Amino acid sequence: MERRVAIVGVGDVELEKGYVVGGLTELEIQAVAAKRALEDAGLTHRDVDGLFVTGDWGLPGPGLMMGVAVSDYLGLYPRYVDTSNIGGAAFEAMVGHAAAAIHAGYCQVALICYGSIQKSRKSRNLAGRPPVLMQQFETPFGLPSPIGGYALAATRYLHEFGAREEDLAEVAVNIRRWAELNPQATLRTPITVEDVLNSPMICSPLHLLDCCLVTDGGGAIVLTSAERARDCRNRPIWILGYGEAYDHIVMASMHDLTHPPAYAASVQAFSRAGIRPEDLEFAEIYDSFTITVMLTVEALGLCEKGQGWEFFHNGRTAPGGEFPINTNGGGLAYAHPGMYGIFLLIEAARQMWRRGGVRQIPKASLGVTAGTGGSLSSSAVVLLGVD
Amino acid sequence: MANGRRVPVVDHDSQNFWDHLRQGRLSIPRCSACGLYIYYPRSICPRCFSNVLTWVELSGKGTVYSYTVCYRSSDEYWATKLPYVVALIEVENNVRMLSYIDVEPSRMYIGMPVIIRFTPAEGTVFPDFVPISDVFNVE
Ligand SMILES: [Zn+2]
Repeated sequence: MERRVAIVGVGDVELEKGYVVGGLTELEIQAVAAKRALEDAGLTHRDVDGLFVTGDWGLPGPGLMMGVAVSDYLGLYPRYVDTSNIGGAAFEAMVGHAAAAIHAGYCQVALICYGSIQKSRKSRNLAGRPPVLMQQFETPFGLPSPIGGYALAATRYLHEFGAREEDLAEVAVNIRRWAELNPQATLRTPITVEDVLNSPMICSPLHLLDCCLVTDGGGAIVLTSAERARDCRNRPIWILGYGEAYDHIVMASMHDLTHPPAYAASVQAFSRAGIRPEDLEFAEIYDSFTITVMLTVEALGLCEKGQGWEFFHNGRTAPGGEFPINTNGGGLAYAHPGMYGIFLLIEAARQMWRRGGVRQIPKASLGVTAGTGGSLSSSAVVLLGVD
Repeated sequence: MANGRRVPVVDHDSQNFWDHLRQGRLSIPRCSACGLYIYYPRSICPRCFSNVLTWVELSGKGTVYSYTVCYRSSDEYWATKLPYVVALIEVENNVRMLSYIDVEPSRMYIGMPVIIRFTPAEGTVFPDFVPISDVFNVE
């Protein structure tokens, strides 16, 4: 996989207080983001022959055949389509799928896109999924979804490793400091550990400020082969390694609450890339909740299992810290439209192209994006590098 | 039935489970080939892929593996119960169940011994749990 496929363009849309500006639909958002990403790459929509799209719009209705619906709307005629919905990690998975398809010659220019107006639609709630199939063994018992699952993991994590709510709060404090530097971030006011602990408890041990935002948003990414990348505007960001892994859909099926599928995804990604965790310069990690980030730094091998709670102390992952994490403010403070994973990739690309502005990190030639979907259900890890 | 607890949409996989609860029994399938106790109930053994399963009864005693105290809910029923406890419970034979525990939240700890409480509501019976010390005079 090494240096055969690259990210060559990214695009997203402006938000104001978490709302997409101008009352756009999910399709309009994707059109804006896709146009920007293709222009960024120096390509046109006629070059796109692979489409990778997922989300939860247009259901029931055209969203059932989302790949076809987006092809129709954007005037694409792809010969390769992937609508894998594995939760918020889907876009990291799609980078892997697109890289494989491009490498195999099934398509040359892959467009990944996503749009959500969940905040405008007020469609998000904590009521839990309908009590059908295996969900009939979870929803009737009052588990709010998805936060309840993460809260169960967090309680177990604190118990096993002697960590405290304060340690979880450090994750949010570090990430908020990045949001201060991002004019596009929804929440930009600095916070302290006390602020997190004093925010309302939602599902213990997770307070309001341990939880991601609920916003609108959209984004797009263009990938192509090494050969085509030579003619694109940007330096290629190589897909060095990739891994995905799956576990449970209901929490009773998760055997070890402190061992998410990010472990298995990470092992695959590093072995394909031939690099080690200690080689990485920064990370963009799915931060649905503070516990997600804590478990993921351990799974990626950035520290030992059980030491993730210390990893965020003393501003280590904040601006100026030794290992930057979530440099746009993350799902906790920048935006979270329901499936956040595409923004991990967009921010990593911007940092690697040194377009970070005041939040530009000094070293950004080797990084990782780690997506998590469902309730620690799925994981996809992408290792990125520039020459 | 406003503000009622959401009821399971019972199906072919789960019919026995909910029927037995109405008779005051907690039962789940067990794999006849490899012996695995299977929860949630399903038609195939996820360990050895045998589809020869037998329903067996469990005592309903367990210990808390993890829990959360919920302070918010947009579910009409649970919003009247705040704060309430949801837990993962290790029942015997390596079975792990997710359930509601009817307990004062400040009493909760990992490892707490609990026992099933059959809760009739909405025309079915829910396998909820309570601290075992609330039922027997031991902890
Ligand atoms: Zn078996």
